[in-house]
Amino acid sequence: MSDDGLLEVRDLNKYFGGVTAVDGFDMTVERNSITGLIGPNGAGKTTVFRTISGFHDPDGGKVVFDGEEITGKPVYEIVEAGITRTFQEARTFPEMTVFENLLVGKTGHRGEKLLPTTAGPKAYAEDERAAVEHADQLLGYMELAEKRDQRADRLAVGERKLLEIARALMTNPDLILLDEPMAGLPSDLTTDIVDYIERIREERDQTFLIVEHDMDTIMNICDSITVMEAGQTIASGTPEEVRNDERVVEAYLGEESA
Amino acid sequence: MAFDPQFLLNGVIVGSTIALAAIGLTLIFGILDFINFAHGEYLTLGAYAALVANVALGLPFVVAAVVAIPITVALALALDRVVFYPLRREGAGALSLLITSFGLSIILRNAVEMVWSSDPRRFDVGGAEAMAIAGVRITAVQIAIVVVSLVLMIAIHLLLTRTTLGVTMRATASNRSLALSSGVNTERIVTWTWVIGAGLTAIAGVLIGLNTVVRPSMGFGLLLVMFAAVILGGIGDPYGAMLGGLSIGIAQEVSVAFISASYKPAVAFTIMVVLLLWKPEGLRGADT
Ligand SMILES: Nc1ncnc2c1ncn2[C@@H]1O[C@H](COP(=O)(O)OP(=O)(O)O)[C@@H](O)[C@H]1O
Ligand SMILES: [Mg+2]
Repeated sequence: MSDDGLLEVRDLNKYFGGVTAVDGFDMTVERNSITGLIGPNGAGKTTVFRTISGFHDPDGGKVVFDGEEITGKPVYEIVEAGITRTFQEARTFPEMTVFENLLVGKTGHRGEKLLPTTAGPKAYAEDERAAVEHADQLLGYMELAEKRDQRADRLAVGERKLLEIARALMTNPDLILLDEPMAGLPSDLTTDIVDYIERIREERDQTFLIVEHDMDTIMNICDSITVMEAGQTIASGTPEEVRNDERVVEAYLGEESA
Repeated sequence: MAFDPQFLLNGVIVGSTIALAAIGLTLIFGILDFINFAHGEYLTLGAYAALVANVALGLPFVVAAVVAIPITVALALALDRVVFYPLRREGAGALSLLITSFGLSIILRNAVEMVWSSDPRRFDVGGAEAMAIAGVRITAVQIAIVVVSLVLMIAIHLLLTRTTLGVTMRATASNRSLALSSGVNTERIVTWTWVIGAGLTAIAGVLIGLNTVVRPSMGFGLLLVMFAAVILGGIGDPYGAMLGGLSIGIAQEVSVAFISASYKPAVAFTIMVVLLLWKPEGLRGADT
């Protein structure tokens, strides 16, 4: 492709047995944008997320990230390349502390290599220290510092969402995929999350791809929106363009009467 | 008859070795979600590896014990590559893995018996003279067994809480797909877990062989007790396995003060069943 989007998804296909979940889907995510992916229930949004992040092998098409094809790579390599995702229901490691939850997202994972000491115990210790520092810095940034040593399952739902975003940031991503980050949140917390997303985009130079049902939020926060229905791209453009697109209006009217 | 503290001491000795072996079993369960029936044979093989190094090759006992660790680990990793990994990759369920490990257990046990016969063997080591301390008899070897076990349990605790590897192992056990999307190469964590689990189990085998004898059925004979320790502690929980192992060891040995020693396993399981009826989540389940 000639355009230089951070993420390019081209002609993506994914089948589950006889079900076609994604059917020739296309989308581009521009660098430093907040891009929305919307569509009626069952349109294939979560499947697109799972395929981009390496949880599914696509049955066709390709995913290019930062000029490099990542189609079908294992999840941890895609994370290392710079894409991380959050889950539809805020997921944490419940019996671990907030701080430990973040440490899992440490990038490089030198300690995970079979012979960490090949780099020397000093480099290893330095690595561990840097991870601790990074985690503490992110806890401060996401205003979770007081909860540092609490178990994650003791957090309120809004804090769990923040923890998920913090854990995602811990991997030093370039692109963060958020699957329904506002789901199940009261409206004041939704505003909080929106503020965080905008702040992180500005201050940390991040790009976001967001799936969200709350139309007001999506229209308000996104620079660009792709609409999918039955596994296909039916429209993409600015919120204004998409809102007035005939096929989009139809797709959503269809859902409401269903 | 007054209670003899000797039984309690014996329980601590036996219990700490069971705890050590049970940690390996529970760690693997936590990461791979299956109970490895061949775990007892890893314990046996650890003991035989040390025995060969010590008796056949004439290495000092401590050196032989250390040598047994990488040998057992290499074996566990090779078996994972050849047997468990292909099943895992094909998405085999816990039951297939369990039955496969049961078969593996039989094969390994018979192989050990073919090579070394079923005769019980002993390590070539001193330190068997009992000393009397505070009214109980204990040998230098037994003191070493308890100290080594405790040191290793503390080391495991530090690993799991103070290093990113340990935190990542716990995370992978807790939620594999979330660990993956946090950038963890979970297959590498599986490898690490075998290394640590098999290493601890090899040491447990050597220590048990040291306290009693080395024989082909030693690991299998302890398997049910290890299961009991793991279940008692809350399956997948390494601290639970330590606590469960110690409790069962102590209960078994103390029971000898009251009933015939041949009922030891029955005592262990009675305790397990009663405790589970009382606390279905396991000993450590209450605070979760
Ligand atoms: N793992 C799966 N196995 C079988 N069918 C699936 C699976 N995941 C999704 N689907 C199907 O694919 C379609 C798209 O689902 P999904 O991606 O979850 O949609 P959305 O997130 O847009 O609501 C649905 O018909 C769904 O039932
Ligand atoms: Mg969805």
